[in-house]
Amino acid sequence: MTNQWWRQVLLFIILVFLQVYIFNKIHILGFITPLLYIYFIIKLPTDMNRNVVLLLSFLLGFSIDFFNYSLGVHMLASTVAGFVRYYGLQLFSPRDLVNFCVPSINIFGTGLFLRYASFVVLLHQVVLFSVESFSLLDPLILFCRIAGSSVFTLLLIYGLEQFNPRIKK
Amino acid sequence: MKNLIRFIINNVHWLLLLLLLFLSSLALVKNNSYQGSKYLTIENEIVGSFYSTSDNLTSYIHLRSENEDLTERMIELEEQILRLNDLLKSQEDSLAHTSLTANYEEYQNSFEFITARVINSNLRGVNNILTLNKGSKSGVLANMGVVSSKGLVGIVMSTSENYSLVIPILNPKFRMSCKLKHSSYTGSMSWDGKSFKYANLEELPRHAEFLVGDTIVTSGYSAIFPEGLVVGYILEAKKQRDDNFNSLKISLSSDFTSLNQVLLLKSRHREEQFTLETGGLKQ
Repeated sequence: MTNQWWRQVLLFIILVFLQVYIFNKIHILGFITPLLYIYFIIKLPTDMNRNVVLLLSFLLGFSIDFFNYSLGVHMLASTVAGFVRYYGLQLFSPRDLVNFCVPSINIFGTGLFLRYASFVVLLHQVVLFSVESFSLLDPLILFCRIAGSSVFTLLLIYGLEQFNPRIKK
Repeated sequence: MKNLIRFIINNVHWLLLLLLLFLSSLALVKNNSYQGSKYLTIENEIVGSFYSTSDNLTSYIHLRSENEDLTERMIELEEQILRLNDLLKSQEDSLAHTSLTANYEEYQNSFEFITARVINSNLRGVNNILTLNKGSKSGVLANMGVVSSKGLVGIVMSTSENYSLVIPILNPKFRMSCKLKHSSYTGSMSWDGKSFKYANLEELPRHAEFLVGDTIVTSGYSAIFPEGLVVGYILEAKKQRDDNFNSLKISLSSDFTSLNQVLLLKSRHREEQFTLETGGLKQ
């Protein structure tokens, strides 16, 4: 548990800095932006207190907003994502999960993990882009943004997951 | 109380979520101008409708005192109107030294103006007379010229202390020396006795060139009117018995049926010119 704690903090810091310095500058085709910091929420241990998860995700959103000069946008989205993570876990955990763990492809299996990740990521992106634009003037563009960013973020998450040490079964 | 605490403890998660969402929305609306402005417009609508309903109910209570205030204000304004009207009338009367409209650009300084109003216009028959509300007390003398903003009106016939009589153009006794505006050919203008709108310009030399619609102005030969006052416009040319001269029908520019404000022309050099002309004729 203490090991995990340091890992989580490190992950938090790394993800925030990656997002702020690299991913915020990437705009593919003009509307796709990767938002990888959600990976932190996805990777939180399954036995963590739900309230702590909420607070942590609030903090995460605040840090991202802080560097974006757009207070409140990411805070709202990541709070919702932190809330929804519990229900995502309930929906997509593998049936035979005995211990509490950190979600990953190794434990969940690719399909379930991707479903769980896309659940959280999608809801997060929907809230984020809706609040950011705050209008329904151009629903097509909004939809494109949500879809494109989610797909790209999921790709990045999948790529990061490959760096997990392979458990020899 | 215990139940409340138990409720809170059981649902900390939801309460925390609500709290964090509220904080995020607060931060969102306060720090992002676009979202904030949208929020403000919505808030304005809702709160405004609430306040207007409550105002509809309570404003009825204050009607009586508002009524009294309004009546007082009205009295003040009416008094002011009366005062201003009086002031305006006195200003109109004292417009003696101002110049008139653009018609009289060519005036030399030798003429002064006195304003007057036509209080009676006897335009029934042939001998037409106008009455003005200014008399010798205001400096009106006989043989002063009278003009309106549109053109020539007539000459003062006689004055009393407060009133004066004017012979308008529409009188067979009236003859005026006029000329074409663009040249110096002069003729003599008189009324034809039939319509209020037309007069005749006679004794215009045959070789004078003119077009229908040309302006006829005073020639300045008399001491009464300066040169350049608009009298009328040429309607048509008629043959005269004498083959050396043209006779023109003029439509008068002054509308005698609706005369109101007129100006009296006071010439500074009148006395001098009169005495010279009459004295010269005697000799």
